[in-house]
Amino acid sequence: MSSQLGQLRLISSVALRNLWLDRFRTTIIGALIAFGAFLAVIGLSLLNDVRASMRASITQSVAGDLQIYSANAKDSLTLFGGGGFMGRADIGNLPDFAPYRDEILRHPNVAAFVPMGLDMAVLARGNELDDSLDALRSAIKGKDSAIIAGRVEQVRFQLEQVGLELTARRQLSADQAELEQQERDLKVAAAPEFLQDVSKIGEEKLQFLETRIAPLSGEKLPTYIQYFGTDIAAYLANFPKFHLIEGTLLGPGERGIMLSRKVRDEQLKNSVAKIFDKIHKRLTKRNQSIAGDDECRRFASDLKKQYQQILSYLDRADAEELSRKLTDLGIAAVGGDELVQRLSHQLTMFLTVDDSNFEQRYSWFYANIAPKIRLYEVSPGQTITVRSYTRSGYIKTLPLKVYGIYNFDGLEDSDLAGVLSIMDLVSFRELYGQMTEASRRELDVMRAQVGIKDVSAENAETDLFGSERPATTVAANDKKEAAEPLSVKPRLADQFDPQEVQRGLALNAAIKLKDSGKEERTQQELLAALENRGLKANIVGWQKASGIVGQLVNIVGGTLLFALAIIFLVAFVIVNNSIIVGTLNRTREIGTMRAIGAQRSFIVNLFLAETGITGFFGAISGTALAVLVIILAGRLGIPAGNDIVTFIFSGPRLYPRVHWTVVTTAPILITIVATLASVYAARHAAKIQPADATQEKE
Amino acid sequence: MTAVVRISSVEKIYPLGKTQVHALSGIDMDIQEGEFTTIAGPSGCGKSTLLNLIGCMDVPTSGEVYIEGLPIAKLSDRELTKLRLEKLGFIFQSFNLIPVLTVFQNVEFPLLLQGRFSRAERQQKVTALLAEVDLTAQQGQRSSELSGGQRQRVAIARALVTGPRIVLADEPTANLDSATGERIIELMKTINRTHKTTFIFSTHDPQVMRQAGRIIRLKDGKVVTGQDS
Amino acid sequence: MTKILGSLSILFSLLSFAQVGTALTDKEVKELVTLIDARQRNVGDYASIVFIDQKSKDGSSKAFEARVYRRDGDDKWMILFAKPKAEAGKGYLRLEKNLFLYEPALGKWERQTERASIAGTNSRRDDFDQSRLAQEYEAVFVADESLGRFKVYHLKLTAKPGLEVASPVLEIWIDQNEKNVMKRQEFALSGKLLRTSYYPSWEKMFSKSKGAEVYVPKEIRVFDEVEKGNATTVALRDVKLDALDVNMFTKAWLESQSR
Repeated sequence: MSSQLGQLRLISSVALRNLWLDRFRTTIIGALIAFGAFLAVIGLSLLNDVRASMRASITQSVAGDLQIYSANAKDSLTLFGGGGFMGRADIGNLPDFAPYRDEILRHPNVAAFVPMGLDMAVLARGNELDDSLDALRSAIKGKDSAIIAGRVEQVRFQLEQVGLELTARRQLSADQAELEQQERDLKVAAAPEFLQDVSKIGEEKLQFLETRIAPLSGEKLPTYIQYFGTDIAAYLANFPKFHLIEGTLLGPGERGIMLSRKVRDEQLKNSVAKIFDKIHKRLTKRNQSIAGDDECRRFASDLKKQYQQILSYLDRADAEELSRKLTDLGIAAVGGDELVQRLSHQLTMFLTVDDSNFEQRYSWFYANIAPKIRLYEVSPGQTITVRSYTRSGYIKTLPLKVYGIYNFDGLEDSDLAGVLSIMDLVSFRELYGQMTEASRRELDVMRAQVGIKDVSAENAETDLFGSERPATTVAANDKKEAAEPLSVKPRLADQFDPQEVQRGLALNAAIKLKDSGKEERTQQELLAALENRGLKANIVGWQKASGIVGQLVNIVGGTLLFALAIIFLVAFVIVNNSIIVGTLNRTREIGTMRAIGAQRSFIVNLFLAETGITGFFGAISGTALAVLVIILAGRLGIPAGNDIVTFIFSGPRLYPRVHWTVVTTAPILITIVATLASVYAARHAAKIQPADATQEKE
Repeated sequence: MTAVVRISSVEKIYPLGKTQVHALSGIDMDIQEGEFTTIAGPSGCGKSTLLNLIGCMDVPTSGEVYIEGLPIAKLSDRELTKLRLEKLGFIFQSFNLIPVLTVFQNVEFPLLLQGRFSRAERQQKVTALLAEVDLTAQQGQRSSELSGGQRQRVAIARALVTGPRIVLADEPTANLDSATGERIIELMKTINRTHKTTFIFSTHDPQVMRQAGRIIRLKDGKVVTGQDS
Repeated sequence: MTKILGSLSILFSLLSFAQVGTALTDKEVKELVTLIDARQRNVGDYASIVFIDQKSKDGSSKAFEARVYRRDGDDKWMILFAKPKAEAGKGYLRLEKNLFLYEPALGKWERQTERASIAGTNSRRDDFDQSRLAQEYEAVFVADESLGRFKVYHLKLTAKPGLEVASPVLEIWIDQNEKNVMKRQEFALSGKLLRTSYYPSWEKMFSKSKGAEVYVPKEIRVFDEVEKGNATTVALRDVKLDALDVNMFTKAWLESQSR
């Protein structure tokens, strides 16, 4: 063996034996390093997992790998969380996306180009009385007396409920005069002769009901629907996280909407069902009890006030049956034979839940009540009407058939990802309401016909008041002519030529890549290619396009690394200090070695070897333990505690994987770092003088 | 004959807070090759300091120390360490063996530091010295398993394994009983005769002083008498 | 929409007062303001065709033409859009506290109560009510001025304390000859100028139900002083003050107006 190797062997045997001699300290330091390695491996592995899962969440639901939008955008694109004013960011638009698509699809790394646009509209809702009066009106138009009679019945039944409500309000309302008027009105409407003769129900009576009576049933707040319009065929082919839950898929060439399940459950579901669901969720997922949880108690107290939400959707027959069933269940009415009063009391009692009866009442509700009421305001097959405030300034009302209800796999519970509804691109364009050339020309014609000249604010007074024409003219005494009926623009057809979505207006588009690892390079190349063609656009990566949501991973990662750095710093200091303490015990030994001719560097190497060996074994064991924990967690899954974490995990649970790059590099790095960390201490040890060899041992 | 050690107007001053300690105040002396010399004196007389200077573990504040004609005052720590490794050997009062190593490994230690011998060469040298100090049988044992006298013999072997010109011994018999101590001194004298190695001791032990060829007495940092016995 | 409906309150009749004067005394100022209120107090029904052109400071604009009907007796009004084609047939029907919206292409009606906003704007009930300048404001004479070639009285009106009014401070310029308001400016309490409106031409007509003459502005120009560049032009024509059909102001009638 050469002397180099011999020295190495000397150093390592001295180091090893020293470590063994001072076992306690070695174990402490080793354990510390092991702990650091454990945290580092787990943290970095999880970070990799989370990065991958977030990426999947975002790119496979809406974003794709890259997003392209107008170069003239005023705000940046934020696919999630909404940006700009009232959630409507101004990202400009691509008046015709076809040339962009054609150029982009030529790139070898591009797999698909899916045009889309995000926007928001209002779903207006009337109350139950509005709906039944509307139904009555249509029935009268239809002239089918059987149907009319049925509708009248329903209205009468609801009037009884309104009456009850007014009596209850009497105690609360401050405006007695208004209340008295309402009671008088109701008396008129509820009187049997009012709706008796079906043939005599004319405009006057209907108007009376619609203006005086309908408002008594309360106001429903409008629902805001966030959506994106897209080429449905292309979308469904390229976004695997889409999952249809109910109804059917929107087909190519069909106009309609697929609603987000979360929006439907939270905004369009019967509130009794909704509150029941909320309590149930809290009880099962969070192991709470109604008595022990503030939220649950609040829900429960809301619940028992909601009897109206059941009653108003029943017809008389169903109401009788429900009352009987409730009596059978053991919830009998107190006093009063009159159906509405009786059932109201029964329902109030039924809806008074506590820990002992909740589960039973919950299932009973879904088995016996839910099928009889309108559980959801909107269901597949129905048509909804949405109203949007278009870019051209007008209001656009558009009917949309609800084809299906969907959610994103793994993101069912997420508020961030779960709220977008999907519609076809043609409907989207209609609601977006871009001012077209034709419309602009029409406006100019209108202005010309009226003959109003353009006047600016600065010149207003001279322009308007300068001329010699009189300020007052006398009106000609024209005879009144009947106005011509207006011809109404026909409503948008329910089908369209699928070719229409192959070009034309879109706000942005998702670009799916074959190799997502080349994201940045492809982004640059695409921009260059478009530039060559004289096309300007913004192209951003999925993370940037997702706004704050895309940054979540970076924030999580940054926090993690920061925490790790702190831990390592602490470990460093402890390791350092313990080595220094150790050298105090070995003064004589070190002095001796120095005396007989060991250089300072030899001493330093000796200490580095000691720390290196400790570090190595500490790192290895910490890593091994971490791998074990990851494998175990990978079997069970880590549950997501709240909505944001669900989004990050791309599902209710995260199943960690062992990342071999992390497992192999982490221990090496940690060993190196631990060794280097002891350099200071080692140099300190090397300062011991040879003369200290003669010190007496402590 | 050139002096193997020459001390020339050496002063050693240590700062002690705001004052200074004059450990050595002008020492002049020569030690010839092959001497068996003792440095003696009461405690605080500066003998440890002098020994440290000769042992190249320290440098004089003024004046010069020549080891085989080589001045050491301006040498760097690295050069001094090399000098110690090649030319000097040390024997300590508490033996100062490296506890984790075997007898063989302890003796081998300086050779490994020198770094220019093959395994066979090292083997040969160590074995030879162990034979000289009569510890061949114990070469595989650790120092904790040896008696005081045996440990000191290991120390002697270690001190000699590099073939040094000077061996410095600091109270080598202080931790041994008189019989053992005497045997150690005998051993060292034998080596002194056979290897012509210069031995310089510091001691209180009159036995050692009796054996010394020369006694250099120090008092208050100055040489008092240097008489041959 | 705010501006059309807000301006409608000024669409109503003004009495003619043959009086030419110069600097006014306090009593005369009070009388003048009372006169303006009286002129605006409409008695009877009202119908007209309104053209509104709204220009925004970012260059975009929208315009529409609508038929406007009002029945004074039971405080009902109706708006039926005629142009552009995309809006034709849409209607608003206000009955008591309810606002009904009609979407002709779908044949659907939607109801909102007065608390809800109207057509997504900030207009309130006040905007459609009668002018009550004399009750709500203290008026002072500022100066005799010239507006183009018209001689005008410049008055300043400050809201009486404790009253809730849309504009705390108003300044109006009244044609000395015809006693029509020619220019009006609205201010915030801080004195910041919010809006300038011009009424360059008026039409005089006789109202049977009122038994007197009625003045109606043919043209209104409103300039937003806060968001400069926003301006609205209102043009009125075919103003009729005859009694309106009894069966109008119903859903059925509004529906029948389009096909």
